[in-house]
Amino acid sequence: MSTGWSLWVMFLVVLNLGITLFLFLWGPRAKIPSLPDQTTGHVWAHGTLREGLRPLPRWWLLLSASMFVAGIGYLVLYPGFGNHKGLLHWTAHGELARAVAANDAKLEPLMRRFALYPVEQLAGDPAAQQLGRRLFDDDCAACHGRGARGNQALGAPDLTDADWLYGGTGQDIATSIHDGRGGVMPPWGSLGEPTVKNLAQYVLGLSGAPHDAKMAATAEPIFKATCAACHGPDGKGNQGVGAPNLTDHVWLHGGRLADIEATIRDGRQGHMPDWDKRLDDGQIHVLAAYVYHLSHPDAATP
Amino acid sequence: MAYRHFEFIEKHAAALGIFTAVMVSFGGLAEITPLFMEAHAVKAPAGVRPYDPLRLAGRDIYVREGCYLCHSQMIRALRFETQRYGHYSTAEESVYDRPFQWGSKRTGPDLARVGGKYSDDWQRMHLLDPRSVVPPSNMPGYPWLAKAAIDGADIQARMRVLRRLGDPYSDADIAAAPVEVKGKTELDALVAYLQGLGIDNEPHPAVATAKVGKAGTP
Amino acid sequence: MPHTEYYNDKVVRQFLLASAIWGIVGMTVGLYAAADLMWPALNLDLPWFTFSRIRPDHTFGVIFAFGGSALMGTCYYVVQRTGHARLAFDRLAAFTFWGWQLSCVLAMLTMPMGLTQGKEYAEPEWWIDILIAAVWVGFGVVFFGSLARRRIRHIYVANWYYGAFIIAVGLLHIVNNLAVPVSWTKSYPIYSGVVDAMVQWWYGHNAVAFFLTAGFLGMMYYFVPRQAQQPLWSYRFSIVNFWALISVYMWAGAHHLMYTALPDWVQSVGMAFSLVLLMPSWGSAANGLMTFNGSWHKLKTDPAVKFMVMALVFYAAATFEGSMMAVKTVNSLSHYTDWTIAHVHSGSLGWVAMITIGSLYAMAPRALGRPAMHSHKAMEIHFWLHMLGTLFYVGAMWTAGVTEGEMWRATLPDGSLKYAFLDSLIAVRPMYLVRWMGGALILSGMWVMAWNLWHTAADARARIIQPIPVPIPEPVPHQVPAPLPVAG
Repeated sequence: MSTGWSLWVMFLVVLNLGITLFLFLWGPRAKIPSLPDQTTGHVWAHGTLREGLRPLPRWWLLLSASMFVAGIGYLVLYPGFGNHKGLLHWTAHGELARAVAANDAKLEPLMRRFALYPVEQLAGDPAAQQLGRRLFDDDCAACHGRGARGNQALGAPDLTDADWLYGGTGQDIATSIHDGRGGVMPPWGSLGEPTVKNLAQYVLGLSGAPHDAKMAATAEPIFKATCAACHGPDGKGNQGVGAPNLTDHVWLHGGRLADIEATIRDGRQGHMPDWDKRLDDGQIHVLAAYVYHLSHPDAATP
Repeated sequence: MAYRHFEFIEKHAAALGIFTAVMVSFGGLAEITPLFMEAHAVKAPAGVRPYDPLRLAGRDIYVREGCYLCHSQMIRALRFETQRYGHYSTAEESVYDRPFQWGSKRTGPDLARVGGKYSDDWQRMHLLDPRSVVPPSNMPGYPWLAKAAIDGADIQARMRVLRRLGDPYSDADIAAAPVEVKGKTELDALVAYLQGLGIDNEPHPAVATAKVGKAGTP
Repeated sequence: MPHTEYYNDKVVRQFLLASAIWGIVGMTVGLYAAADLMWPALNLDLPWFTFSRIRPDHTFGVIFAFGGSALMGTCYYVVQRTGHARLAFDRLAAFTFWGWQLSCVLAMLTMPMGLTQGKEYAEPEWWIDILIAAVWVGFGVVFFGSLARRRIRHIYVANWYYGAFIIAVGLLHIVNNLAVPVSWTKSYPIYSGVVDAMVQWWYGHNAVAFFLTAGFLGMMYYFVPRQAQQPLWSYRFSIVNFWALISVYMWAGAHHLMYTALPDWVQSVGMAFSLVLLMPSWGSAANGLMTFNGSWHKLKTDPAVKFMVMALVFYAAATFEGSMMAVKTVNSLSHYTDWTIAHVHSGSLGWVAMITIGSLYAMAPRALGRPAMHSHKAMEIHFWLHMLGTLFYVGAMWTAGVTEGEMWRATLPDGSLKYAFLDSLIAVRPMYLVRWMGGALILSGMWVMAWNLWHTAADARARIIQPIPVPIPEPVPHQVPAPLPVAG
């Protein structure tokens, strides 16, 4: 704020507080003419409305005086009176920096301790679980759910089972969080609707689900020629490219026949954002431990 | 001053009106005029452009739907806020915000830095049916957004008004707007706006890479 | 021989009716909005049932349509009685009624359609704002014109407040709504970012200060002494409180922006003045409450007095709470939470609605040519429905707000945050149900009032009431106290 504006603000603050203070000091003492019955003699509304002229109550005088002291004192101690910085040299950002430093001082030993252990071992630590859960609920639960059971409509995997798209070691999990993941299955509708339906029956069969064996048999060569490139000849998936294992009963986008047909026909895209811009390495480490803990609830305390 | 001065005011309606008008103007004169006159000092950070047509459309939808009634876009300079949401919001980040959307109530979380936090698909599902992704949520669904198209000519008119108010849109920017929003729905626009929050209006590169979780280290 | 002059009570009766209707409309929308927050599927996937679209309808409906109609109606009633003169400019007064109703209808219809400026309590678009401004200028002309033709020289304190309400709200409305239109459905404010925030909360806070406080204090200053049948407690107090209140309030808006990107100095000035504000706030509450000294027994028998006394108690409580919430440390806890909602409703349901209802019960029989309200019992029932509903509402939101504030900041000894955001929403959801029930009680009380007013207005509906003549010459001779000694 320029000096001119600072003086402007100071002038108006002094003016308005001054007027208020004057009223406060003048009010109780003002000589106001009154009638013997202690009213002002002003009468309105057909004679029904009159005013008394009583002295101001003591409790109110004390309350008001203390509010003046608090308000003016505040402007002496804190920034507000134009460019006057306040005797305490307080700023909101300064207060924040102190609070952050104090909190970091508590947080840092904890994070240092966490860094000593690999993800798999840290997963058993209750403090890491608590911190990880809070981070998970604020950041990850929107897609994976508060119970981490995933969301098939979105294609967000269940994190509580033993099935991993990109690998389930602590390092794999941390990498997924740090870099994000993008899963792309191309659409195969161009193969023709009969082929899509046959392939769906074949995929059902891979996990031993009830299916039409004849249709599945028709589709087998196409699966081996086309789908196997990512999902493998036996349909067991490929964690290198995040292609799901089709032989288990875990379905990323739904395991009903219609879901599978839609997946083949239209393809699927999954996108997990990279979190390295929002979370530091220590937090990702803790978060990975919490995610690991979800599918390994019995891991020992480090 | 003595009582007779007050009595004079109380017996003359014009005097009462004039003195009242003077007394009620001090606060605004002190608090608003310096900010208004020095607003030019709050500059958009280098490299930050006003909202592109799609995000502008999205922002206006955010305003129209009243999102500000449940979501703030203002991370306060408090440790527990920066620890949860990231670097505190700065004046520079709002220079192109007409109206400002800092909000006054958080029934839902702060959105100042929500850009990039979730995938586009999540944002869509969440806007259409919030409980399909967040079961305990009490946010309403906004399914009509997916059915409404963005009107390029309307966006151009908006950009022209904003330019008149000082936003640096070039003729080329305005001419290109219809192409940029062609075929886009209101849902696309709103998602684009949300995905830019805290990213495309960052004060400076250092903040863009600031870590959220460390208790708010700037 | 002076000609016979009658009070213009027609426009008063019209505003009285409008106020009752808008009260029910505005609170019904509020109840639906509260239900939306509890059961979000109630928006039926339709924009005009969605919380974010109807919340401005609730706030505009209760503040400007309900409160505004009550204020304009009582203002016209009071300025005539305290001046012993008929309202100035009959046709302009009629325009202010119909213009205000049109503004309210247009605002209430367009906001759920998505026509909004996106600034709280100032949502209606530019062309409705222009209409509102025109009506407001007309209101001011009628009011000051009526003051000008008063027959009692000394202007009563109620009119000071009504006058300040008119002047300040006009100023706030115009400055905050300056915008450049894009079309009939969209405009952009001339301010952006920080400046827009400051202007908005200067407006927003003083909409509370002058619409919801000064205006209703005007109402209080007339109807409380009338109903208590006592002289106003202290004129001395009136002078001090009035000038302090109208000037100090205008600084306090910055306390809505604590710890934000608004410069520190503005925040601090806002906080300092918010503390000083307690002086005229409690002064006004005390001046009203102590007017009942000698008439406390009326609490037992007169429901209007019950409403007025509780209104003043809530006024004192809410202004104390407000000054405390302006303290930075308290604000860091309360801001963005339902505590704000609790505070605003203890002010609006407790103070504004109760003083309005009390005043309506005091004024309606007189304006409708009846000795008393149709049903005494219905007034009693209304009081208890309103009182209980307010306690439910405020209690629930206060609990929810403190819960949210505490959960957002809860930090474990190791320095990590304890709760996720969603945890706080899950924790307060039951309170949203209690709040909704409180609202339902209040709304049912409004229906009781509407029923009662309908029957009280029987004569008016049959058009058989007599206009009330202005007392000329005054029935009580204008008493001039002896002048003070020159030396004093």
